[in-house]
Amino acid sequence: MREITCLGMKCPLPIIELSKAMKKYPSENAFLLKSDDVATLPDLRAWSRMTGNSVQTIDAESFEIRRGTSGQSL
Amino acid sequence: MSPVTADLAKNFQDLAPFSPPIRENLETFFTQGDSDPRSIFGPGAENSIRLEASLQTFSRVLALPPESIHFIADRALAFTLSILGHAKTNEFTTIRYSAVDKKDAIAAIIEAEQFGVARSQSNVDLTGSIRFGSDPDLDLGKTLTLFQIRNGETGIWQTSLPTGPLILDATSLNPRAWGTTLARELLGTSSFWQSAIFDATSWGGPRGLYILALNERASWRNPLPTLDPRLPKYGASIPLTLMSAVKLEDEVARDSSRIDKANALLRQELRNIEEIDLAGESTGDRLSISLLNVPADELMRRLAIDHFLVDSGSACSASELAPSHVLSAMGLLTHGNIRIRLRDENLDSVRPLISSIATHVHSLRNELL
Repeated sequence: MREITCLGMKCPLPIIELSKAMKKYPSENAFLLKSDDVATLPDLRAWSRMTGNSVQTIDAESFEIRRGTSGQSL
Repeated sequence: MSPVTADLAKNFQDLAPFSPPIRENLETFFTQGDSDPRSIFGPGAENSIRLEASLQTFSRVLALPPESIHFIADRALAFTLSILGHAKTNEFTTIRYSAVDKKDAIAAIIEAEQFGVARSQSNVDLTGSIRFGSDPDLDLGKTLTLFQIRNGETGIWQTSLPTGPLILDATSLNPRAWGTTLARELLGTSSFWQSAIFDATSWGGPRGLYILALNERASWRNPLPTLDPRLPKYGASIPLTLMSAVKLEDEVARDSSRIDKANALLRQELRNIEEIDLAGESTGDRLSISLLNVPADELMRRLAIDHFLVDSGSACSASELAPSHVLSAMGLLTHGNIRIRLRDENLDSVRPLISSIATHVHSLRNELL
């Protein structure tokens, strides 16, 4: 699982970093996003719906992303 | 195009410069509108007549008895007077509200707990409809509901009324569509409404004039210290009151079909942009969109270079780091959000605006990803 560390970054950078990583590593199926920005959780919910990728909340600052499982949410 | 309309032609912000009916009479409002209407001589007496005419305008258009109307200078104060005034009577055990209500209103509801009134928050769905639900523990006869008929950030109207007594938040009404809403019917015919709050900017009037309407049959006591049994004006300006009435008269006389068509065109064309969230449907003069992987403040800056002015809402931007509680409650994307307000003066610029948005979103995503 590839880790994307965005601690200290403000909205919309964590989502942009996640999108960049998914584009850069097309063969990776799972990512761990670390973010402490308050907008990340609501934005991941919308991102999951819009892109069809799934998100699982690990803890308040860690989110597991899986490619293309039709937007199973948080 | 006249110099007045030229200023507004590419302005899609919520608060725009005064529109022509106000500008044309601006000097009159200020030179004659600040005389004391209690005077029985000269401009004061004339002002008394002007204020009475304004009152009749608000009463007729908004379907409110004239004696229910009170002018207030500040929105938070209007919500506080309404909500705490009802809470102070001990007639209600609970206040229901929704996750998309204005923060001013939610703050007053939290404050109402000091009068022993509990609060109950309802959720909204992806379309922006408030789900008041049917909590069996709530005694609906003693539950006061704060009902936001239209959301100011997204422009979404509610189409069904909750049960029981309610406070109507009409601060984002669109007066051209107001006559056909359930809320207007409610104000004209029902005793269920306790109070209602209006904001003159929602019909293109000036900032700083709010109307608090109190139903004469409502349970309400002034929550602020006062020796006067009548509700004081709390700083409401006479010139702003007169301007608001003039603009409301002007606004309701106008046709909404061009604005509705422009909104439909925006929706149809903007949907061609990938990964875009459009809030709600049929939102009249307002539109809220969120664009994935686009920083709103940079998009606004590039649109401004093309002379288009839009708002970024309260979603993530350089000036507001907290996500919008409205977009978040609806499950919409909170970043990359811009808000568009349509007026007669900017409708000819809608197609160029769509083109500008599409171009800059494409280039921003190419640069960032």
